[in-house]
Amino acid sequence: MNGIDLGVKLCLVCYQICPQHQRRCQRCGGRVHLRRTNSIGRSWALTLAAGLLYIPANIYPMMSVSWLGQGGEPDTILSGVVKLVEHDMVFIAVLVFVASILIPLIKLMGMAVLLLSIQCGYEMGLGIRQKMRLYRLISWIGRWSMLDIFIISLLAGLIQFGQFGQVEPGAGAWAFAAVVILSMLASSSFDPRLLWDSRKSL
Amino acid sequence: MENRTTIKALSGYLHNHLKQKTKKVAKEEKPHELLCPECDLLVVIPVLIQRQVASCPRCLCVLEKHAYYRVQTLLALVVTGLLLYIPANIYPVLTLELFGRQHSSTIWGGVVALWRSGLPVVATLVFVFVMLVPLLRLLMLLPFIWASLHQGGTRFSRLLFRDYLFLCQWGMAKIYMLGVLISAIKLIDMATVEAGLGVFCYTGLMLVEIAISLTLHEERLWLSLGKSKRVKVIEGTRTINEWN
Repeated sequence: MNGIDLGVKLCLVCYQICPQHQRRCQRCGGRVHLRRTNSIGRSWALTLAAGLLYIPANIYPMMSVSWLGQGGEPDTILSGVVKLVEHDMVFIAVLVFVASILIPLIKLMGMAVLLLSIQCGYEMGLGIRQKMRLYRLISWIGRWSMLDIFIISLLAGLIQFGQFGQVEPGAGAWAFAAVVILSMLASSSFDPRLLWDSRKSL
Repeated sequence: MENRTTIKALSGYLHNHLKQKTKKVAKEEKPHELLCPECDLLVVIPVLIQRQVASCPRCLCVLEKHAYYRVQTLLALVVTGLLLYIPANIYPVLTLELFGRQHSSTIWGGVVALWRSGLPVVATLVFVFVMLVPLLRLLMLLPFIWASLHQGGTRFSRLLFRDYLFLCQWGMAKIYMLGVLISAIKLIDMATVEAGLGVFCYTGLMLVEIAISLTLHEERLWLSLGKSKRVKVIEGTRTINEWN
């Protein structure tokens, strides 16, 4: 009872069922594809690019805070978390750690698991429903990693007291923003229907 | 005296006008078919009552939720959102005070600071996600509301609604608010922090966005824009749906 067997496909914009031979959706006028175009190729490309950029995001400093003459050394993500712990702000440190280190890793590894399970046919130790849950998790948490970037933007805009205090964003912020955007694009170009297609063919 | 009667007559006319139009537009809901976007299963969605959620029987993907769809509510929410958008960007988000010197920053101030520090790309990203997308989400609904009140949609409003649905994924208002909160907590032991009016207006904007997503029922919207077609689906020799 899949649409692909019945000769129909779904328009992903307006959710109108269209016959498979029709190129444009009747209702909204957009192009309708049976599965997302080149889904596996694009997802792999974006995931690998995000993975490669994750390294400079952690090596280069995110921002350098100088306050009342102290500080001024640039901070990477990890050293920023450590400093927060030192200042007794453990809760925020955990939050930043989760949003900036844990979530991107989950997204990248999760996408790799999903893509490999389609291509190699190997179950990867997860049932199909768990893979769907993984996919939904990746889609949902994708944008929350932008939290760190917004914090940097706010702090940079606020702390401009000349010699008393200065915040300077660093190159790591650029790489990190790129990781977040690319992984969001990767999860949106992945088509979960391929998981069900490949399961049937086993 | 004359003014009062004129105003009464005018408001009475408007009231009747809107009521009349929406009566015609409120098409009755029928059970309709859908392909699950995540597992490609053909499902039939019944008419939902309050608080019901339709999800795919195989992969548990949420297909449709009940929504309180009324065009006037949507219009009211969009107008409120637009009215809140302006002070949210004009008034400062946070104010910092140190040794008697005050410095406050709006959202735009943060964007400019990122740009000046040599990160123009990141500045553009923050600008797009936090300032542009919420505004576009509100503005894009207006032609659609107009078309809905005046019977049937033009191709333009259909295109816009498509782009609206696309933009919904890329709005980051809630995340920005969380960022403001965390920044405020971080700065508390450095200097005196004050929340500016911008934060409250932006929070209001965020609530308006949530309310709009609860009011918007996409399937009915597309139906009222016209040009929906039921497709005959045949499996083997059996017709799954028959439309007379």
